[in-house]
Amino acid sequence: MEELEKIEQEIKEALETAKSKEALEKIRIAYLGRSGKLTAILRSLKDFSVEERRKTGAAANKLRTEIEKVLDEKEKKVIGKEGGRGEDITLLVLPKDKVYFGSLHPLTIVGRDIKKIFTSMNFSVAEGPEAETEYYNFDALNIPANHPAREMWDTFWVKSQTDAKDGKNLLMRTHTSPVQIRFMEKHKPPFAIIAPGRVFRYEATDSSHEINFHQVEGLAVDKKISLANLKFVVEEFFSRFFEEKLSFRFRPSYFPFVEPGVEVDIKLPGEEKWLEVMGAGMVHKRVLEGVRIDSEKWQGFAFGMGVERLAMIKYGIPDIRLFYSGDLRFIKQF
Amino acid sequence: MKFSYKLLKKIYPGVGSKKEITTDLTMGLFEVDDVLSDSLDIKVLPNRFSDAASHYGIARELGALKGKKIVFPKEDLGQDLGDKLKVEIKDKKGCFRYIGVVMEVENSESSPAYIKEVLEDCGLRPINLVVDVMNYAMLLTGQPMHAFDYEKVAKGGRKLAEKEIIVRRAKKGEKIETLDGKKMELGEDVLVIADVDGPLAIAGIKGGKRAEVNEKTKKIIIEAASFNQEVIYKVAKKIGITTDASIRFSHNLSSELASFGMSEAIKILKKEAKGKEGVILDVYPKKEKKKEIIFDLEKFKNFTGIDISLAEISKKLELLGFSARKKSAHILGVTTLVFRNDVENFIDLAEEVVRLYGIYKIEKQPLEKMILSEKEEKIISFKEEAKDILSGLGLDEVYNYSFYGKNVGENFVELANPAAEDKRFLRESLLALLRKNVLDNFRFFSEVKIFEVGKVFSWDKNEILEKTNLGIAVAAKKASVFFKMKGILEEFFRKIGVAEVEFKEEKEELLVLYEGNKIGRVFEENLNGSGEKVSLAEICLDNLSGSAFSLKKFEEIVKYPSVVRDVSFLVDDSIRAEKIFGVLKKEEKGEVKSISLIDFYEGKNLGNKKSMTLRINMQSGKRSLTDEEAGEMVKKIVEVLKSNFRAEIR
Repeated sequence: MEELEKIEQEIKEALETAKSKEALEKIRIAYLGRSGKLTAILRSLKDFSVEERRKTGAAANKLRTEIEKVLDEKEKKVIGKEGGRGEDITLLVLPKDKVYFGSLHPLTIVGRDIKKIFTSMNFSVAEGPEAETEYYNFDALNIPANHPAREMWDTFWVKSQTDAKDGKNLLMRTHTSPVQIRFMEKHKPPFAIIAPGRVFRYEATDSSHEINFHQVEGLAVDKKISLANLKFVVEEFFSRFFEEKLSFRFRPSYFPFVEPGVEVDIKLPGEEKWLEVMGAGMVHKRVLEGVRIDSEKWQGFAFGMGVERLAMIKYGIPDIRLFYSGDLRFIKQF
Repeated sequence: MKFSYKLLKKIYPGVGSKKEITTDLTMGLFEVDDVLSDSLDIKVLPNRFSDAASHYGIARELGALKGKKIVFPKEDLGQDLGDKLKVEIKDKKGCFRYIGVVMEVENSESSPAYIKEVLEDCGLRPINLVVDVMNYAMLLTGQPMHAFDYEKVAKGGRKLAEKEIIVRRAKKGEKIETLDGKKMELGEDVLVIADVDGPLAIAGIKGGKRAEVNEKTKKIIIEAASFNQEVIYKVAKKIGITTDASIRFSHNLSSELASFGMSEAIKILKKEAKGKEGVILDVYPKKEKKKEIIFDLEKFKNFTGIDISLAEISKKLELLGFSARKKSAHILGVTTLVFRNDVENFIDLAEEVVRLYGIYKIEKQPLEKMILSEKEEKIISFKEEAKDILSGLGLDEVYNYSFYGKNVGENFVELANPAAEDKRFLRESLLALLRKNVLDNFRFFSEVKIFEVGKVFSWDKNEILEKTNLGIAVAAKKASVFFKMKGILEEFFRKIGVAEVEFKEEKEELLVLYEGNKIGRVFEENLNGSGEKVSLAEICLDNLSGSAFSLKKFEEIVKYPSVVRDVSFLVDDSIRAEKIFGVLKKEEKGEVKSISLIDFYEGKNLGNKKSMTLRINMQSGKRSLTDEEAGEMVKKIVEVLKSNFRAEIR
């Protein structure tokens, strides 16, 4: 290793003074040629211990690559100089003053990708509270109390401080759909929004289930918005998001706040499996009427998707729990 | 829900292979989860239990998807042969219809193989012929059925020698032993099927032991009833019993289904058990009525974007058993199938047409009209801008759970059903988990600089107060990074353009003040058990979002050079730096552009004094300052230091 450091120093000095193509070539021969000094070290590695070989080998190889690079650069400059204009030959320096730009969480990155695509299609962004009332999370979305349909959403309930009245019970929102209701209460159609945010489910965690995760809700209401428009927006979104030519599958489903209900599957090129990525549909008559929007006059679509799921597909992340691990070995990759 | 391929094929021979069924159903009705030999696991959607949680129902749908109308068997409840049974529905809110049939059976032993096979494919265990036929009829029609041993049911009232069935709520303290031998006391909200002696069964949920049918049973009372969905759902949940019947009834079955189920059950019992029916009693106080729905073609096209003719629509609806009558060039009058209690209006019908047409076949269309975007809440973009600044300052972003185990605040929010003890509370601060992140990451990194932007929760009277906070943790092994943290915060506030943020020292920590209000805090502490230190900061972003990134105004660039002077001085150790800066802040005016601390030293060689070096930056907008003028200004500041803090200039 010491030998290596010595050579590195020598080369640096030599390079500093070398101002012609010939001088550079001499350096190349002296260190990297068949009987060059660095070549000799690389050849002698076989006599070293395994540990030593690994360490020195790696360092020597790295140095060789560095020198080759600098030599090439200098050569170009020298040629430039010989053509009339020149600069000082810079030093071979390994990065010393390292500058570090922090990493954004992959969910932030994916969340922004999603927002960017939708805002380019004129959707606005809205948000709502994470702790919700039973009314906004269920009742207003046409999810009946005392019906098994409500069991599609396993719910974290907040221990209440007082006896809450019907619909006033507090819970952790199980989806971003309450934002639809809150938005429609305050705005008159036409509008098109997405509502990203954190949601909660009371369920066992595993590689694809978490007790908190993120969704993006979408809602567009106007006089002539149809299922065909929903298809356009959805296909446009996913194609842009994955930057690939996808196959799509729209099939019937049921969510109490839309009718007809649709499930959207995608297939990435070269893959066999269909991936369920979105629930959607036309906003239910009763949901519109509940926020005093005339359902004879206005209609629209709504959709919802999981952000983690999209990030997992996009980046090939195998386990949803990584997102909440706080592990910088994970986060610094993005 | 499990279905038998054999039975589907028996009802509709043209049903196709299992693979075909899987594709047809997935694309046109329900997802098929799994296929295991002849058993198909079909995900019946919650609004379709009344018509499609049955083999007839699925066959009808498959037929409709393939363009074939499946004809259902005619209902035949048989005729009254004079045996005596009385049925009384006392709870009309809980029970909408009760059909009771008395039947003599010749044999009630083992079922024929075809019945057993179907039961097994559907995940049910064969028991004896009568019970098996009840289940088989349910699988066929979707109507849960039950049979009581006639002899074991008590005689009716004093004068009557007949059997009497009563549908009512349980009385206080009333008990039942269920078929599986569980004894339980029933609450007054539990709907029961009773005789004069007491409950025979928990209505719609589970049969009782007392009138159990076995191989020796010769005479039975068959029940096909319709119950209030909500009552069954609540009771089943409360007593903790889930059965095939309770699941079906919880999903709201049409009362019309009862006669279909009964008719099929009688038919099979007559054949397989040589049954002879007696009394048929149908108590059905309020018959469900079919109503006509208007289907408007233009509305349909506008709603779906599908171009289709009225005749085609009519044909599709007929395939589902609906009847459609053309009223005008673009209007149909549609009467639905009785079992379809999910179809109430035009959009319900539209959904059916779309499904049969194929959602996948709809041609996508861009929006015809542009919708103007709305003004967004400022916090939404502010959060993202804050994240960009912090990552630019070299911090990594983490996401933590919204829950944790310990909560030290006073107004913490607790969950009624936490996922685990360490996730019992909603986080009131982001710092607890950031600390943990630092500790975890110290295993792999010697320096950790992280932040999180997220919601925190606390009670405010009876409402949950939700705030958007920024939490920062900075730590390096064997080093204090408190000033790095402060530098990060200062640069952050400068970048978002809120110069009015101040730091105030209070008990070992710095309070962050904005317009005099506390919006956060910064402090350093020992990192639990590691011997290392961590600097932590938490800022509420809601308070800042209003004024962050407000419109900047250009200021003239000064042409004249600035003059810089450094002043070093000693002051008493007891004087807080914060106080000194409080006073100096007032001196930053006119041509004195800034006074900043560039060096600070405390050491034994200074005794109980500390040394500080200030850099004073002076500039005029009108001309170059002379040395004398600069000297005057410095002198003034030195005087202030001397008189206020007895500073000794070095």
